[in-house]
Amino acid sequence: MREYLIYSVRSLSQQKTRTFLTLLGMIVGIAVIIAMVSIGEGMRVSINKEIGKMGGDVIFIFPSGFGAHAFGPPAGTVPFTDSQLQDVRYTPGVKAAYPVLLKAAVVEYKSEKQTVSIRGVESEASAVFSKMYSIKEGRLFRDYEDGVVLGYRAAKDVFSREIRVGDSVKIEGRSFSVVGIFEESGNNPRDTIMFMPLQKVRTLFSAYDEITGMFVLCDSGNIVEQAAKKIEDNLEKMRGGKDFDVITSRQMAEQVAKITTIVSFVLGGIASVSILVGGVIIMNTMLMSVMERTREIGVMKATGATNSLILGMFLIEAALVGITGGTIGILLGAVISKIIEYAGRLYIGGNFTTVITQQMMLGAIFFSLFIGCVSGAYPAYRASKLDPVEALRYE
Amino acid sequence: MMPMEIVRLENVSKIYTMDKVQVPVLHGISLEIYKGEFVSVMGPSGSGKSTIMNLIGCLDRPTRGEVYLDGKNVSKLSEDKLAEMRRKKIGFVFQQFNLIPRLNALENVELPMWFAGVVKAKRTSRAGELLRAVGLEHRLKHKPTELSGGERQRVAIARALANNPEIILADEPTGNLDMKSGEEIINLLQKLNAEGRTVLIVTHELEYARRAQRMIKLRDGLIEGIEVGK
Repeated sequence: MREYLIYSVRSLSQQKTRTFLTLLGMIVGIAVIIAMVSIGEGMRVSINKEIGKMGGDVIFIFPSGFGAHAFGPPAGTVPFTDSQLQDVRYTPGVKAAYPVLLKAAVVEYKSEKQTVSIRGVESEASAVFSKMYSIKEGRLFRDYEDGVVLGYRAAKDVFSREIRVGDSVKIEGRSFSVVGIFEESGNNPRDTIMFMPLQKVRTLFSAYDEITGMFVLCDSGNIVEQAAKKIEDNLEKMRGGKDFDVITSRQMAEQVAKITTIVSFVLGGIASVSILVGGVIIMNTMLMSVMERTREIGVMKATGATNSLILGMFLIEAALVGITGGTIGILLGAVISKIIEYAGRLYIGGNFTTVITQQMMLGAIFFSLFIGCVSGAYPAYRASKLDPVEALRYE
Repeated sequence: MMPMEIVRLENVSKIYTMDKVQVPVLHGISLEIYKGEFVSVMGPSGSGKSTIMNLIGCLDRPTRGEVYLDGKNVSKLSEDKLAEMRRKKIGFVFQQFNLIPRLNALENVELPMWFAGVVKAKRTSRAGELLRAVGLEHRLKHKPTELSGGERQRVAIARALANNPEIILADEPTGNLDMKSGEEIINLLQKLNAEGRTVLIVTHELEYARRAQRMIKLRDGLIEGIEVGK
């Protein structure tokens, strides 16, 4: 085995430029795969972290088709009502249920108007949403005051001039004072919303018996699924159909896992095409190398080398290219992944992250070894089958 | 003492098929070579000299007839068995030297021993001995390109001896050498023969051919005559 390696390394180092170019195909391929998959993996990790913050005892109730961060419910959605909220509150296992009302409102600050997503909640709902949002400056509003708490970017970026705690903004023509600003979550839609007392939003939009969704806290993590089922059945009866989703935090985590796995696979799959090119380059180089070394192969056979020895020699050479390219590719991929992370944080948000796991690296090593062997198989086979007499005569 | 037969060709024919044309090269040749003999093969190009070498050297199989090497019929052996015969019984010396350019003299000589599964330490010490025996003890770590033609051919001879073969097959070993180096190589081959090794040499030089105990003259794939030397 040692001899094979020595011989391969010698052959490869003989043609430095060619070997480098061949490696490059493999390096780029593996690097792209690593970088792509690290994005998917990063998504999974960061979303799971957020869900983890909420804990396992939360249930979300929203109209069907309502994305977690959409501006508002889909058009034509029938809102929930206070009596439905009461029903949810009386479901066994439920500790508390908090209504949330979403509206798109025209907000005016220093005569500049913007449409902003408004969330009306009761201040006691901070029991749930304080897990996702924390106050950076100021305080939360009280239910009776004309106060508003701004998302980080709603204060900083949405208007051309930054809004500060103590400033006054006009929402749907009525003055509210900014009492607090949230920390940046890194999630853009979430950072651009404004929180207000539920009753104030209802008054502004004359939506007195309207609820967009509910956050439910359960007595314990063990009965969440049961409670969710019960809520779902009751609401369905009351509303005369299932036009809403009841999702537990655990189910949400599972869904996210599913989606991010798909994302990883798709990104990795696209990247795999580049590895195909790397494989073809290896095959081409090996074929060229076999041709150039025809005479040498003849000499080896004449001096007693068996076909399988010749086969092994070229196969190991190709495998060596594969695994070396793969290893360097992982390093390059890690660098690219870090650059993507940096750029992502700049443009998408602070919690954008990329993750490279040991499993990914190991997989990449084996994959590159595999590609090397597969690409080298045909050239090695050709080499092993050369007729020694012909090979010795080759000029 | 009855001379021992090492090579025996029985009515051997060889026909090459090129594209769809059949090119007969040997037309039923019979020949014996004895252990310890020095035999030369002469003849114009295309007379079948190299083909005989290839058949005896187990690089090729005859179309018809039988080839025996050290008592064993090698006419129908598998490729792997032929490789084994080459490894154990044959030492090739080529006109073009055919050393591996990436490997130094020592490693070139070690190569056939690697194929034969000799351990590294033993390979290196034997390769060193062989190179010393051909007068190259000062060139062990030199690559072929750093050696003169005569030196390269001596490395090739050392390589041919690596696995202690029964027979040395030298196909125009002086063809690419100047007079002086050629002379040295022939002397070296004669010395090996004097030590008991069977040597078969193909050459164009009548003077070298005549130094053999027997000179086989080939023409058009047939033995035209055998001349017994001094």
